[in-house]
Amino acid sequence: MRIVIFSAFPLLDRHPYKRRLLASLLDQEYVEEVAVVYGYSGLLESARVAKRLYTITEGIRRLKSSGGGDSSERMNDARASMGPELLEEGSLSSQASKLQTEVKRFDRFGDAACLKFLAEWQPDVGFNLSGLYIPEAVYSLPEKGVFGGHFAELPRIRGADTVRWTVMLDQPMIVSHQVLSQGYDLGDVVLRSRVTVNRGDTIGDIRAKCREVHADGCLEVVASIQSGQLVATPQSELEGSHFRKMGKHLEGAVDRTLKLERYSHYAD
Amino acid sequence: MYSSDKKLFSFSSVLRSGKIVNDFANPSTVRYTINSLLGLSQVPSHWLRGFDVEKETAAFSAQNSTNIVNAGDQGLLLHLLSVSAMESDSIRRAVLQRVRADGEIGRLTLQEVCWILSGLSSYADLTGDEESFEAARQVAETIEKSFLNRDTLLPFHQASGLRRRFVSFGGISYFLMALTSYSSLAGNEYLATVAREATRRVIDLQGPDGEWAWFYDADRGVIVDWYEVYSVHQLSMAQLFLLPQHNLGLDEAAPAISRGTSWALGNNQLDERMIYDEPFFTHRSIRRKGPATRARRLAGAWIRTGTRLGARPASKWSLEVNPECRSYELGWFLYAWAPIAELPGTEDLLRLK
Repeated sequence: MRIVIFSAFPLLDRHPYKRRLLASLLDQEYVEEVAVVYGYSGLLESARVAKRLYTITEGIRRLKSSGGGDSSERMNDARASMGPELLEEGSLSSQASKLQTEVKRFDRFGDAACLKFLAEWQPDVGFNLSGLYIPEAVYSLPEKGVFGGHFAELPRIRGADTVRWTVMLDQPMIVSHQVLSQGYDLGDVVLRSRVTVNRGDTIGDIRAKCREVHADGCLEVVASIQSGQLVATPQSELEGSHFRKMGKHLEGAVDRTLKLERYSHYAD
Repeated sequence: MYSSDKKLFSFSSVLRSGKIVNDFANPSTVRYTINSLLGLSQVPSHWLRGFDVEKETAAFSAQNSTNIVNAGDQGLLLHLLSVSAMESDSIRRAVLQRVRADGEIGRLTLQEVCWILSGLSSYADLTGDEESFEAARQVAETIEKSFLNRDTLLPFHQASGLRRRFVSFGGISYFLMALTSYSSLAGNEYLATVAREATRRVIDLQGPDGEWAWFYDADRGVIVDWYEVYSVHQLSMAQLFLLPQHNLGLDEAAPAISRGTSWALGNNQLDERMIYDEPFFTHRSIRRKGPATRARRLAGAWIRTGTRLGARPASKWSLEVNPECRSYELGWFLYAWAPIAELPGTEDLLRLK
C-alpha cells in the first residue's frame, strides 16, 4: 500500500504525533512506501495563510504547541512507545528524511506540480494532517481516498473550534475519521474514537490527546483497508450543525468549565 | 387607542383627566398597529369584548400591506399573518424579494433583519414552505456573520456605519427572539447555543433593581447608557427571549423575568408603579430630567467609549417618569404574556393579565 501524508508549514511542523504516525506506518509490512507532501511550504505563503487563519496571540500559541511541548499523560505514554530516535525533537520533514521517506514541498496542494507528482506517485491512501483544505483534484487521486481526523463527533459537531464546542455542549470527546469530500465536514465517517479526558486537562491537553487519537485512528483505518473491513457511513447534511470559531467570552467559559472540573465526561 | 375607521392603533396615547387622548399622525402608527394586532392575536377571544381580531387584521392587511415599504415592518406583518394562520402570500413574496436582492439584508438595521427572520421562520413553521425556510437560513447566516460580535455575544445595531457597535435593548431582544425561534425550527445546535449563551450574557448585565439598561457597546460588552429605562423592555420585550429560553430549560431566565417585572410594579429607583389596570395603561419610562435627545445620548455613549468609562445609574433626583403610553407596548405585553398561565415570581403581573 502506498500512502501519502499531507501536511503544511514544514518549518513549524514539529508535532510528535505526526512523527509517530510516519514511523508506525513504515513499520507495517503491508505498507510499501510513504511520501510526505507539504502545502504552504514557502515563507511568504505560510505567513499569508497564517494571517488569514489566526490572530497574533493565537499564532504564537500555535507556534508554541507545534514545538512538541504537550505534557499530558497520554502524550507521555505515546512518547514512551516511540523508539529512541523518535524521542529526539524535530520536524516531520527531518524525521522523514532520516527514515528515507520522500518529502515534497509545494506552495499549494492544488498546484500543477503537486498534482503531477501525485499522479505519478500513485498513492492508494492519503491522510490529511495539514488542518487545511485539500482540493478535490487532490483528494480524488488516491484510489481509497484521503482521510482526515475531525476533533469532535460527526455529524453532530461540524466546523471550527470543535474541541471547545464539545466541552461547551458537555459532550464526550470524540475523534471522527472521515473521507474527504466536497462538503465541509460532510464526508463518510469511517471511525469514531473516544478521547480520554482527565481532571485538570486544559484545552491544549485535550487537543494534544485528540492528535494522538487521530494518529491511532489513521493506523486503524489503514489496517481496515488492508483487511477489507473498512465501513464508510454517509452523513446527512440535515443532521448536525456547523459551528463557527468561538469568541473570547465563550472561550473563557470553556476554560472555566475545565478549570472548575465541571465537564461531565472525565475518565478519572 | 384603536380607530375602527382608520383600522389603526395610535402611535402615542396620554391620560388626560382620566381619559385616553390618542395621536395617529406619526408614520410609525402602521408598525405599532402590526405590533398591537400581534399581541391581540395571542389572547382568547372572550377577552376582547367583541373586537374581532382576525377581521380587523384582514382589513388592516388589505388596506396597508402594499403601502408598507420598510423591510422590518414587512417581516413583522408576515410574522403576524403567520402566527394568525392567515393569508399572507403577497407579503411573503415581498419579503423573499428583499432577501434575494443582492446585499439588501446586510444594509438593514438589526431590528429590521430580525423581524424578517421572525416572519420567515413563523411562515416556514406554519406552512413547511421550503423557499421561506431557505430564505430564513440565509438571513440567519447573515445575522451570525455580520451582526454578531462573537467575542462579547452582543449584536451590532448595523453591519457597518457609525452606530454599528451601539445597540439598544430593543435590538438585543429582537435578535435573541429571532435567533431562538429560528434555531429551534432549524434544529441548529450552534445558533441555539449562541442564543442561550447570549441570553446568559444579557442577564449578567441586568441592573440591581432588575432594570434593563437602554444602550450597550457590542464591541466591549458593556452598558454605555442606562436611560431611558423603558417599561416595555421590563414588562414585555425581555420576555420575548427570556420566556422561550425558560421553556428551553435556562435556569437563569425565570428569576430575571421576576426581577424585571418587579421593576415595573414599583421596585425601581423612583418607587413608582409603571403599569395600571383601570384603565389598562403603562408609563413609558424612567428617564433623566431635561432634554434627552437620541443624539445627546449617542454622544454620551461615544464619550464613555473614548474614555473607556462604564455607565452608572443616575441619582434618583435627576430622574422622572415619562407618563406617555404607546400602543405597541401593550401589543408586546399581550404577545409575551397571553400564553403564560403561571410563572413563579410574576403572580402580581399575571393577575393584571
